[in-house]
Amino acid sequence: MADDSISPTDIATELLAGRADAWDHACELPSGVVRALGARGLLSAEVPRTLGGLGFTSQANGELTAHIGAICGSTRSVMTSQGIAAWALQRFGTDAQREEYLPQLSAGETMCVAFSEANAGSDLTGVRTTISQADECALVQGEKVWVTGAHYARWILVFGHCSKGAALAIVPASSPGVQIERVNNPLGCRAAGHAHVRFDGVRLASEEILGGRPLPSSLLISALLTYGRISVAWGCLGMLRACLAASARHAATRTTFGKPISEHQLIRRHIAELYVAERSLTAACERASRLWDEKSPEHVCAAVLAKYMGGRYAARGASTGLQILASAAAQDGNIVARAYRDAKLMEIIEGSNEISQLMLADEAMAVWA
Amino acid sequence: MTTGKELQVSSHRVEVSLLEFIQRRTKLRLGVDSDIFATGAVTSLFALELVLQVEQAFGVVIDSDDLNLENFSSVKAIASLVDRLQGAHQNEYTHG
Repeated sequence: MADDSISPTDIATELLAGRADAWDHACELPSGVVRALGARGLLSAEVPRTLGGLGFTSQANGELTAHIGAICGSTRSVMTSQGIAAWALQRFGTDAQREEYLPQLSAGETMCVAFSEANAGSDLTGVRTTISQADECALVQGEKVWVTGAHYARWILVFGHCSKGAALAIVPASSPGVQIERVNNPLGCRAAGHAHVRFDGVRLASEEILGGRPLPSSLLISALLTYGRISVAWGCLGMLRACLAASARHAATRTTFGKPISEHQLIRRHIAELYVAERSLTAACERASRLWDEKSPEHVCAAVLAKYMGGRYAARGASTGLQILASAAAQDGNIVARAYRDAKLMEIIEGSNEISQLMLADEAMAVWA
Repeated sequence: MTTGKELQVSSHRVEVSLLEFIQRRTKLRLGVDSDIFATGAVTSLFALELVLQVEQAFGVVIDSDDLNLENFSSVKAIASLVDRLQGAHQNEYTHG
């Protein structure tokens, strides 16, 4: 676990820098890298120190998430997935579950979360997966799609309906009845190990139901997505910063019409907009994390706002970056092209732009009407 | 030890505070017995906000055993949950 002499950001840089484009091309993160990040506690850094984690605040983990997101969007996606799983254990798990799993998640093992189904994305009331009781066992039946990190996971935390509400089941990926099929040629976050996962009568001990009991569906979903939204927002901030840096450096050195393009007014406007987006998103992420760390109920809406801004600004920022770098970035193998593909997915997951807009309108009406 | 009378006063304080919170966040003027979720006017995020508000304002931790709709069905039900949790952890929190 944690070696305090090297900072987590330095560990991440050492493991990731300069390698993300090759992983993106191969659609694969080296398993040793995933394990090394996990073993240093980086994939779920908010796990308390008493359970083997780094004990990071949301703010500190956010900075780490942005740092990793600036280097490799796929690794950051795996980090978000494992972070949600760890938070689910922390928030809803029994003491025994926390003590069993959280130290392992801080020692190199991986867990992902499976919510979406073919007919249940933005509208999770469409979920058909069931977690039923059979004798002393729990039985999981259903099909999940686009499960981030499933390709690397030792356990899959599966959301399903049960007789009295909803539940999350901790399913070992190697269980009989679990079939994991990689998503072919994903547009972005290509190495994040997205997979469709089928659970065909998977039997578990009843103790593998999170918290040992059914929970209200909307509460479970909101609580886990809120963690995910803050994580995605910081990851988007990382991408945006990487695009701003690449754009500024390119604009300072690329010459047209006898001067660096950073001196052309239309390019300067692009640079200014990237800068405004980066500063605004930083403020939104810091606010959401501060409210989370204060345990304020306001963090729920602050997370939606930060995630919405993150997806929008990162997608637009990557597009602007590509406009500035032009042919220098119009080919796979550089951060701006990768961000252009990765950021678009961030406008879809953890609450699409449109679902986020509905929630933000609710909030605006509650505050301003 | 807490006397019965103090508990009652404390419960009343919890109820008033929760009714204010619900009105501020949803514009609903509820009574202590109103079914909070049957109104249909609460947003999908509100259930989580309500749990967090109860935890933050009254210094309690609500774990999976108590995270059910019955405990959050009305302001009166929440106040009695808070009473019970405060009784169970009397030395572990301070009033906000």
